[in-house]
Amino acid sequence: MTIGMRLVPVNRQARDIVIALVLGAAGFLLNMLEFQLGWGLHFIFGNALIFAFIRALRPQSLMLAASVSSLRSVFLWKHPWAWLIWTIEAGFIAYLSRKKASPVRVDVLFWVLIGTPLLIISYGMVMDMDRLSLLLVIAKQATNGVLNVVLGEIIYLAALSLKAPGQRSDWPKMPIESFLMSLLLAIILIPTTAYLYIDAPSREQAARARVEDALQKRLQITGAIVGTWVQSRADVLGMFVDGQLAFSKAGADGLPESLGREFAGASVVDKTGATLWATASSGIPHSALQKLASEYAGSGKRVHLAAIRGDGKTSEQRPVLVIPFEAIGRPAAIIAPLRQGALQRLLSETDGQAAQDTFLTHDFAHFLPLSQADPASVRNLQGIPESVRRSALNSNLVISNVAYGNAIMSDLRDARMVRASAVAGLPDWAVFSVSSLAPEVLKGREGQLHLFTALCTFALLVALFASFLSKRTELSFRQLAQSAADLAVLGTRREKIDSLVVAELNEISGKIASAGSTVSRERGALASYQRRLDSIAKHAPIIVYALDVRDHKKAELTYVSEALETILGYSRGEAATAGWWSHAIHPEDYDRCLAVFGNLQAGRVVEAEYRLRHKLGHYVWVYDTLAVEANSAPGQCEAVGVVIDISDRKAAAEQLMQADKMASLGRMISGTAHELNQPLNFIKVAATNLREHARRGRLDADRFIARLDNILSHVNRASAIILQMRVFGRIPRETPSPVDLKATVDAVLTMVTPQLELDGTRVDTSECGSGVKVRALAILLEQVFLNLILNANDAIRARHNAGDPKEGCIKVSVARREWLARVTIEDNGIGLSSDILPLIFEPFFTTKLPKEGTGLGLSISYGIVRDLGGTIRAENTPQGARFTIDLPLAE
Amino acid sequence: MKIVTERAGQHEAPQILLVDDEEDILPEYQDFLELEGFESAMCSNPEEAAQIALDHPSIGLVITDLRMGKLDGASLIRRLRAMLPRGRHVEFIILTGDATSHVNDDIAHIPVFIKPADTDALVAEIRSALARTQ
Repeated sequence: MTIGMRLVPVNRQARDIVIALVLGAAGFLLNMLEFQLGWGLHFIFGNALIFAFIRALRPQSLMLAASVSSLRSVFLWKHPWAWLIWTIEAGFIAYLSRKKASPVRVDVLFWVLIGTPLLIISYGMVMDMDRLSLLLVIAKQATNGVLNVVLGEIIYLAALSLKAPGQRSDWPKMPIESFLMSLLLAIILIPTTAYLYIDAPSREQAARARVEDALQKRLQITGAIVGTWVQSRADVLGMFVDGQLAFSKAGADGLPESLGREFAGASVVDKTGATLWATASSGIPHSALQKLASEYAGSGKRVHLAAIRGDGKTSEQRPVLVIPFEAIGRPAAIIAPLRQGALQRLLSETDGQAAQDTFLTHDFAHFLPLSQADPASVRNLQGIPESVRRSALNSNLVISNVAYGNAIMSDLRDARMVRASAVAGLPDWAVFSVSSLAPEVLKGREGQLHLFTALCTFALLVALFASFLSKRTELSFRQLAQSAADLAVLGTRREKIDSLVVAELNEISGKIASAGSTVSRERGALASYQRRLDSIAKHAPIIVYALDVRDHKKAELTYVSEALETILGYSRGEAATAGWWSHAIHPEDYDRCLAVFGNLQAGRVVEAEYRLRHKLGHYVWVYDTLAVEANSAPGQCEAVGVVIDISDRKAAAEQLMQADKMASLGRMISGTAHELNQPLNFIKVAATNLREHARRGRLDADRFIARLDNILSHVNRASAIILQMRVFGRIPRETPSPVDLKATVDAVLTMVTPQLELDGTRVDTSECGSGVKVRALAILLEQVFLNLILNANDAIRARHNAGDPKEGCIKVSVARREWLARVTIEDNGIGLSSDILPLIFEPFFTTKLPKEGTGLGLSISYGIVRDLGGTIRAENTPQGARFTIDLPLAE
Repeated sequence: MKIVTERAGQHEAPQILLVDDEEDILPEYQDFLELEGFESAMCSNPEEAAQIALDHPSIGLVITDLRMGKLDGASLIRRLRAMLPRGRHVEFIILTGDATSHVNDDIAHIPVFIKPADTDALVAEIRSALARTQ
């Protein structure tokens, strides 16, 4: 084919036709090597070559090739039906297989649906084949057809496997279904066929031998009976005629009863032709008698059985016994024609079976049936050339009447085996016996029919099984291929392993190979990514860690970055020991952090700020955030977290808070100074007076003591004012505890009242409910309220400065709202302009002049409230502004 | 109030009226002024202070606090000035604890002493003020 394709590259259609013709011719030649399977059955394999090109040729070309190749059957079997059916078969497979169906399955389908009906019509109805042979032909043709497709598939597989890699990549690979079917069917069909090929001739030979054996026996028995009978009748007739002649009887009495049954009569004729004695007419013309007498009369001659033509009524040969005889010293012959059926009667009385289809023949020219013979078979015998007939004496002769075509199938069914043997005492005569081969052939064919039916059933089952199996396998393969494809990155160059001939395996292998290269590339990328990540983790000022989560709690630490040592001083190994975290955490922060990290749910991100003890002993403020993700294992989670050293920020925040407090103090300084100046003034004036009285000698002890008491009380008053200012001097160190909000508000008001009074601002605390408690540090809450009240006062002053003399009023309320504590601080100041409203909680945002504010107050208040789990928001009211703080109630 | 009027009555001719809403300190002020040789009247209610000044022509100097509950010192000064009959002149001294208090222009010339005041300077200022009234 390679040559053909190279020679004719020009026009595709022309090229295809040429290829098809070359292929067909090759198939034809291959078909010449037929396989004899006995009893006239042939397997021919030329079409296997054609079927090997199902995937390579166009359907029309394939059909053309098959029709050329199948022409051999016309020459072999001398009828066109096999050729027609095989051509249709090739077309059927070629067209249906294009839709990815397995050719083997299509062929099985063909023989079930089309091939069998066509065979029944052509062989059965047109050629009138007998039922057994027809069934056998159907089974055999179907088997041959399927085997050819299977062989074709195997040739194609071999071609796929053997072709040089890279060449003919357009040849499609074989689907797993075809592969399985071809393999299974090849396993059973090829050995069976080979066995039949080897076994059939010997079986046929054995059958022939059996027939021959029977023939031989029949011949021996028949020959012996005939020989003996002729001799004995010759003797009996001789004795009888002797007696008749001795009494000079004219013969009118006729033959005695025992002879009369067998012979129609007897004549004694001398050599000259004169009748010496005769019974009544024996029905033989006198001329014939004379002729026989002249030939056989005289001593020294042997008893002879002649066959003469009847007296005209029938054209049948009549056997006549001629016995050389000495009558009255003259050589004569007793001539006794046998009665009709005498010989047959003779044989049927002795051994009827042996006489079947057995003939006596004189000089192999005439046949005398020794039994009731079928005239047709006699005609058949006479149709055989004499020389051939004679050869039956030495060897078996097979004859057949050819009723339909010259097919050996048909010949054999009607074949007869012929054998002849000489008859003792009758040199010119031979016993000629015919035996039909049909019983043996039928027996053999029955066996073959069983075999081929079994093969067909097997092929059908294999087709079904392989279809089913391959569907399942194909599905599995497709899933495998899908998995492999999933592994491979989209757009990866498709790798191929050319030696794999099964399409699905080829596809999977390609995808696995692609996946393999993808995986190795990804592994490289991953390694470099890992290196980069390690480097980042090592040098970043943060601790990256990963841990398993069990029962929603932190479990084993699976990874921790090297920054741990830089930030906290511990080695990775130390941090990995169980309980490290619980021991390192600041006792005050432990409960709070346990609440945060003690309920880790998949999909959540938790965070906390707490202190961890450095290996050297001091505490480091850290921000720890942990993202929890579901693990592949059910019920388990893993978490990746980051720990950041926030000591600096904490310190800065503390400083900022302090700065804010100082700013608040500055904002209250005039009020506070006034408040302090009052007692100081009293002390100064009173002390001055006492000194003056003392200088003048007016030392009235009672008056002195009373005035000193007054002085001391004013000292106490000053101290109390300073004491109220404690918020400005302290950094919060105590732990949160339930704090009464009203008490906190009151404490703040005590501090700010002097300033508010100074500014003429009234405070309304009528809606401050008592007993509303939140868990917090009182000092931090005071800072928040202080900021807000001072801001309110500033807003009122700003309105006053703008020329609006309306009395300033700050309304503070404390109330319980469901699970929240709510504090509102409202003023009737200038309010918040809408453009600054979103910015007011930003650090360093301020509307005040540089000396008047830091811009930290609201930002710090926001931070404090947020840390307590609350919210703070600002809004404008018709009068001014309102700040609302919601805090979780303390249980 | 009672105390003030009684005291005003005690001294026939008070030269100085001292107004401060903090009653505690008034006796000390009076004692202080007396020791310095001044006749004085005390008043803890700024709303009545102007009337007391009008009732006592001998009063030539009013010393007042600025921040007071019912009436602030500046208003008192303006009210008294408006009520004074023609020919009568009263000097004023402001004595306040509020260092940051803003004083309007019309009373800007009035001397201000911040509590606790320098007593010697205060006495000197009182003397010069009283000298101006005579």
